[in-house]
Amino acid sequence: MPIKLLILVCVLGGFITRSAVANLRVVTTTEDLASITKAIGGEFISVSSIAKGTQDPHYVEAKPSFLVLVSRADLVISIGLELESGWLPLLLRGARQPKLLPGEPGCLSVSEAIIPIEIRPQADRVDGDIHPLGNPHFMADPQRVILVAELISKRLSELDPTQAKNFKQNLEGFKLKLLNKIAAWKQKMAPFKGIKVIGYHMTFNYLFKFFDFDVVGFLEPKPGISPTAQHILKLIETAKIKNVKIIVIENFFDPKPGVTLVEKTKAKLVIIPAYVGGDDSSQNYFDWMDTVVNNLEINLR
Amino acid sequence: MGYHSWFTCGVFKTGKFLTNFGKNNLIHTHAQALIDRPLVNRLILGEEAFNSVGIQADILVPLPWYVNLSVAAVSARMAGLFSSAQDENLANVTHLENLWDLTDSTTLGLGVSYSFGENIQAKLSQFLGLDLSIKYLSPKGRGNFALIWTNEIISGLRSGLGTLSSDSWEHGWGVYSSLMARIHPVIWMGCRWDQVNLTAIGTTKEMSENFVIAYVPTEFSTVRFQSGLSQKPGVSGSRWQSLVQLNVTIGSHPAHAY
Repeated sequence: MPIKLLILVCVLGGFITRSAVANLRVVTTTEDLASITKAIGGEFISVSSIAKGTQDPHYVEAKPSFLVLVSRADLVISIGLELESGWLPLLLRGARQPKLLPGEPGCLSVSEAIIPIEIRPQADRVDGDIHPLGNPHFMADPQRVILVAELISKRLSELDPTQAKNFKQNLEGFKLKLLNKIAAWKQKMAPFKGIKVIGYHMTFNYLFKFFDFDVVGFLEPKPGISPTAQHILKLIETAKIKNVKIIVIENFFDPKPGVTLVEKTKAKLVIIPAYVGGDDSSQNYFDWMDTVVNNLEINLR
Repeated sequence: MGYHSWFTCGVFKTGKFLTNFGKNNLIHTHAQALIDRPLVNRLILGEEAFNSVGIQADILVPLPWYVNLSVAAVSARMAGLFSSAQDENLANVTHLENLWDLTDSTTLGLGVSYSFGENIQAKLSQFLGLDLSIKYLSPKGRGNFALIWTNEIISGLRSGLGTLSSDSWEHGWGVYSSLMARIHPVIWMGCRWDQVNLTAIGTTKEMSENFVIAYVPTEFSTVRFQSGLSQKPGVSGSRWQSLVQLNVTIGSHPAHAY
């Protein structure tokens, strides 16, 4: 009798959890991707993100609750270029859903849509925690985000052809709004072309390139390695010689090394959310980019 | 190393692997909280952990929280645990693991494990394990405060292995409790309390308390210092032991189970 009861609970549990959501269930690795996917899928899909915008997506814990979330998904969308390689394979493997394994329709890496910068075929661990296939932080480049949105729309349409027309319509609306925003952001940053900046990690390299900023160094001596006193001393000299205007730090990193640098130079410290959801004013992709651009502009004025 | 094959809601694993028995047994040596395994794992499950050749099926039970049911059949011809003389003798290992997110940053884990098989005397050996863990990881991720409290109790009964007669048995049980905290982005500190009781003729009791400090500058390297006191009341006096370990990982991001 207890065994029958257990089986009944399992079956009912499965039924309840599967029937609660009728539309295409999408899980994204980051909130940036969730925001764009929501914009395209609209009311015809449900979207959940694994990493929060306040987290460094390199180092997310593969919590069992994420595994349960992934196991009930129809599509998992990731950034790729090994950004999530420390935790996503565990979730995909643990989800026990063959349709979500790499190469299957339920597994989409949006890096397929873009040509990345900083590809390092001769990568060596001595260079730090680098990404040999290219810099994975391309969501900070709105031009590349257009290509990402097109790829997501295409995959959603393949998985749910009945809503393909709606996905296409939403995509066009998203692209139009983004193109207008790109023009406005470019115009706002135009006076600051060529300014010298120092970053913390390589998170904003696409953004700096997009606005034609000149990156002269990083607080991390090597990607993934925390700042050291010796490296900060070198950066102080570099910042003075090259007349660095701003030190840009992602808001989940310790700002102390940046504060030290600012105290010894004329540069200003800019702490910004690195991803959508990184602060209260960055709840979707447009709001996040607005926050980033406004912060940069205020400190560069 | 096991090979995996997927089916809906489940996965098969074959080959030689660490069996899904309890909490600590699954963790590779380099990923242990302390340098050595707890006493109960070493003295009851074996110095090299409970690993063997076999097949394992893992099923994600469709419940609102994480429930994993794992059933394995492995060769019982491993030293210590079963020491079966026959290649064809199999040991069964069943593990039920439950994990609940108490908050975004705190997870409660509760597991039950059971294993049985024929031992070297062609009689039954059986083992039962219970584990309870609470894990707090700051949602800000890398370098922020983390706290992991793990408790495990394992009990084993081996028929025919007592020293009085072929009908006697050997019983062993043990428990450990460990607490690890990340107090600085690159520094972990922790301690572990162990106790094991082995019964064949009379009872042998062994206890230890250990402290560890680990410097973890990157994901790929660790330097750990462990020091502890162990004692066997009535057998030998107290003994201090200190260990130092340098750990270097080569390859991509290390990916270990939660």
